[in-house]
Amino acid sequence: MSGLPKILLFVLLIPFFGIKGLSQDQQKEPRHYLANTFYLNYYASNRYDLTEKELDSLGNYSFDQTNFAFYIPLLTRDKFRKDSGIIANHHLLLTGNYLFANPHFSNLPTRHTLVRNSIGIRYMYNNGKKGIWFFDFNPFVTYDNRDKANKVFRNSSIAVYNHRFSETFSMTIGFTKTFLFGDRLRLPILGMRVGRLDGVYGSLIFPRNLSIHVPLGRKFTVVGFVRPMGGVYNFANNDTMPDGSKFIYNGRDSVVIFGRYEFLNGLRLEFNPSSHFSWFISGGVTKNNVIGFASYQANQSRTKRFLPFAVEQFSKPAGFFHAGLTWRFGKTKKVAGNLNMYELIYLNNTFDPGDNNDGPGSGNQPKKSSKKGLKKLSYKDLEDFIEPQDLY
Amino acid sequence: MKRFGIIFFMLLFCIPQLAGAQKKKEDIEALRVTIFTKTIGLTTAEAGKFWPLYNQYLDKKETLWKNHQELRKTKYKNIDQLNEAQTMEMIEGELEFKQKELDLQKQLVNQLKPVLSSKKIALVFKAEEDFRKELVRLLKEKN
Repeated sequence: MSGLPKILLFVLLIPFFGIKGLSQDQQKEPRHYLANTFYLNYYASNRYDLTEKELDSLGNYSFDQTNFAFYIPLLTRDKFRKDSGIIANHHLLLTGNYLFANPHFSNLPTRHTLVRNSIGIRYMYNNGKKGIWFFDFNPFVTYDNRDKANKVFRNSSIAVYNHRFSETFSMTIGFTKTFLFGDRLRLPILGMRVGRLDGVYGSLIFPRNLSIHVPLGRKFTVVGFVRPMGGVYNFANNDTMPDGSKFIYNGRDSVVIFGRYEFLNGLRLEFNPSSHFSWFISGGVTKNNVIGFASYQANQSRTKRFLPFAVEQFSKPAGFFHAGLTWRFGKTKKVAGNLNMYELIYLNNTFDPGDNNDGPGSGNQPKKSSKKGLKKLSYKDLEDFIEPQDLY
Repeated sequence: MKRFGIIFFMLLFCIPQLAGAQKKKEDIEALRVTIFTKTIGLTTAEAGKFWPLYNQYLDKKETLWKNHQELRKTKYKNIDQLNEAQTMEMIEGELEFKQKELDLQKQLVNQLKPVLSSKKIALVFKAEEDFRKELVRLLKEKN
């Protein structure tokens, strides 16, 4: 948690940069469809007793993490095709995250804060018809704050193609290299979305999420979901237990690989008071949770799944809590009515920067017109839409 | 954790919740989509091509409009201090703005030709009028 105050200081300063950015943007045509987006969230899951032979001396286990992540559009290019009247566009984004994971083992004499930082690149191509290509390359470094010298570099990636068959149905197909399940996995991505993106819709993106989004007015959205959350981290192997034995792994490794994942089943309430700021709160139960330790040295030359020396699977459900804040800055190009861009925003929100499956929420997803909001109009609200003579 | 919780909730409630106006703008944009779709009679296929073009036109028009408003504000404020040449420059500026606005409309019409029938392109102008009328009606209703 030592880096957390720095992040909070940065977060507190964001609005000032944002306001400056907005005033500068007033005179320029917006360059990007996506805003500079920063989010901060906190996640915690309940305590479990460890029962496996290799791990029971660790006592019980609980987990929490804080994640600060962002994406910043670097380049957006529109390409107009004269013959068909189609606008295709390219989007290049810088992505990154700064995550502190805190696994708590009650019998360990010291606390481990596992850091996972990433800086990556995301590229999306909207062909202007019905297809979107999405690529995400996310190199990251992981280390234990108790042993900063031993850092490991890894990378995760996503490549998908999304095709919109109609306003209410689209499919996604692709491939991912992910550490989301506490292991190094290469998995296919198969997904579908049913329902209008600016209304109620259900989304299944295997292996990342199954969700139903229900907007309540313009500002609130309730999301019911099932999704995994996890990762792979370096864990310093320098604990000495009261009996003098070395934990966790009595081998030659100075660090071991710690992997975990939880299956979250829950509800999420998103509040989007403005297009620049939103927050969410989420809770539910986790099931089929797994933690595991693997030797770093024994797995160093492996390119496939890790070979663990200790694994514990928790079958009993437990509670979890997840909450977060999102800031979006900069004026963006209009997307109202542009279903391809709705789909691109949906994909960009589904795949978070950093392979943590937590994301900034769907606050930038356009919604249907709200009659309630239109009843409170003042002349100032209409300045950009009507001219004075329209009033007579 | 406690400290983080406190900061979290401080951020939640203390950060100025920028621009309720921005949300209204989104509502108005969504209303535009509803009215245009109805007035022009856009099919799903047509809408898929129409909205990216029309949104691009709106972005350009809005920037042109805002820049002009900014200039106009300063010049009208100091109109008494302007000499003959500066006043003529201001008039030229007004005409240039109107010309640029017209150029944008012409460009839009050209871009829409492969997308919509000429009848539907003509209805775009009608839809713009219907949209503004609806906004004025809503404003009057509120007052």
